[in-house]
Amino acid sequence: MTRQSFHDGLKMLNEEILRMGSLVVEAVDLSTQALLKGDRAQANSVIAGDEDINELNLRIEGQCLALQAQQQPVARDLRLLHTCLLVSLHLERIGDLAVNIAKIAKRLERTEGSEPFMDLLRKMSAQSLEVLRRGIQAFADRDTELAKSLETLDEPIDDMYKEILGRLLHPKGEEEAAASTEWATHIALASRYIERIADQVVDMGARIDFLVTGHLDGQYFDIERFGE
Amino acid sequence: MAELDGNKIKVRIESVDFYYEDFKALEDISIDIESNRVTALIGPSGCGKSTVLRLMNRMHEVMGKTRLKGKVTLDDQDIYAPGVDVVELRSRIGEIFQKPNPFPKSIYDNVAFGPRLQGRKSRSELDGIVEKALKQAALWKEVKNKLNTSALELSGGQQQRLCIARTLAVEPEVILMDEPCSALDPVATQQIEDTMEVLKENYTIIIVTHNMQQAARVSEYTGFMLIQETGEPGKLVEFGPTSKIFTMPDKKETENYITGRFG
Repeated sequence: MTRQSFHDGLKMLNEEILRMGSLVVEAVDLSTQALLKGDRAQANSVIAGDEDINELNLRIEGQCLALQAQQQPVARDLRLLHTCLLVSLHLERIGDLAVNIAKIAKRLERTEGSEPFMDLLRKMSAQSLEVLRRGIQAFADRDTELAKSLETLDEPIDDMYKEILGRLLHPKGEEEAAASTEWATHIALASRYIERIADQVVDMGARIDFLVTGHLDGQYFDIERFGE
Repeated sequence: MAELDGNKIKVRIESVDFYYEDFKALEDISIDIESNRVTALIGPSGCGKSTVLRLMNRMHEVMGKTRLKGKVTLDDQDIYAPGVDVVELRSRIGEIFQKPNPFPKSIYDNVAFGPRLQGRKSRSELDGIVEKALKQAALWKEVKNKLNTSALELSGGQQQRLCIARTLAVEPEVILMDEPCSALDPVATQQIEDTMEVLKENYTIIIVTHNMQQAARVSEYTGFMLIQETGEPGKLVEFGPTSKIFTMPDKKETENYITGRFG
């Protein structure tokens, strides 16, 4: 009584998540590059490309629903469907954050005194992209250790985000103090979006742990507590 | 599913090995059955699920030479102790079989059969028992105006509920169900499952089923049984809350079976 077509369906779902993952990695990479270089064309291509990510997310959601309705998945199959649905949603939101970053890339004016901020954004972007890559790798390999390490990797990003906000509120020197409110708002938002990307990945990591072990946030997911 | 806080143990199977003549059918089976719960036993054909069921009312003894090592208790009383009245035991532990098996008698006489054997003969008392049992089995509304027609005129699903009523009429404490829906259509199956939900308020139910989704729907506890190879004894691989068994079973074999990666 092996259920070949069902298990083929699950395999396909898994592959679609990975495909969505690589599209999202590309979107984050391109949008942060566009931000740092002030490349409007590249920013536009990220915005246009988000449609594919959204469509894939809908497809994955539809497949999850159909498989649940038709196949009565249990145990690791049920956990996989549940995880795919949530991971897909996290990835879709990361795609939206990349769009937000791309929109700022189109509007951000380079001014004198922006270099220290751009330097922090560059470091944040690189670290967020690394966290995202590892998160997707952890899903692909069902690697709970890697999934758990994401939280630690996220910490420097949070620190840099706070540093940017602190410097915007308490500018150093005349150049920084002369920055316009519009410019400061763009920098604050861009850093916020980059920081949120890594947060989404950390939450995704918790789902990967659940997929493999049935634990959520390090605790046995006691389903009895969440019954009727 | 409601939180399980551990009801009192109604039936306890303790380290049981079981033999049909020289064939070892079960090995090292230990299960605690909580009262007022539905406990399901699942597993592939021939794994010994039905044998475990029959340990509890000693029904296997009608099939010839059998031997049991270990202990089975009902309310802490050893049901295999010398001097145990098997007829009385079977009135405390009723059984519903795979195919509905009403007697070729009227609906009324089917339900009154057991109580009459127990010597309860007054018409008014029997009327009360019959009505109550049919109501508990969720059949009363459908048959109350034709109690004297033959049980064989009922549909399969009604016949099975009649068999449940017949069992309830002797006021058992435990109800064993061996594939009670395998001969029924989905609507009749749903009615039996709804009936079980009501019955567990007053009874302890143990069900053997090939239908894993049914086990997932109706039971609070599930046991998964398996034989390694033909000729080997059946073993209990895993036993636990149904919601846990069907989301994160501890054993690989359980996972492979319920997800269909088996055989």
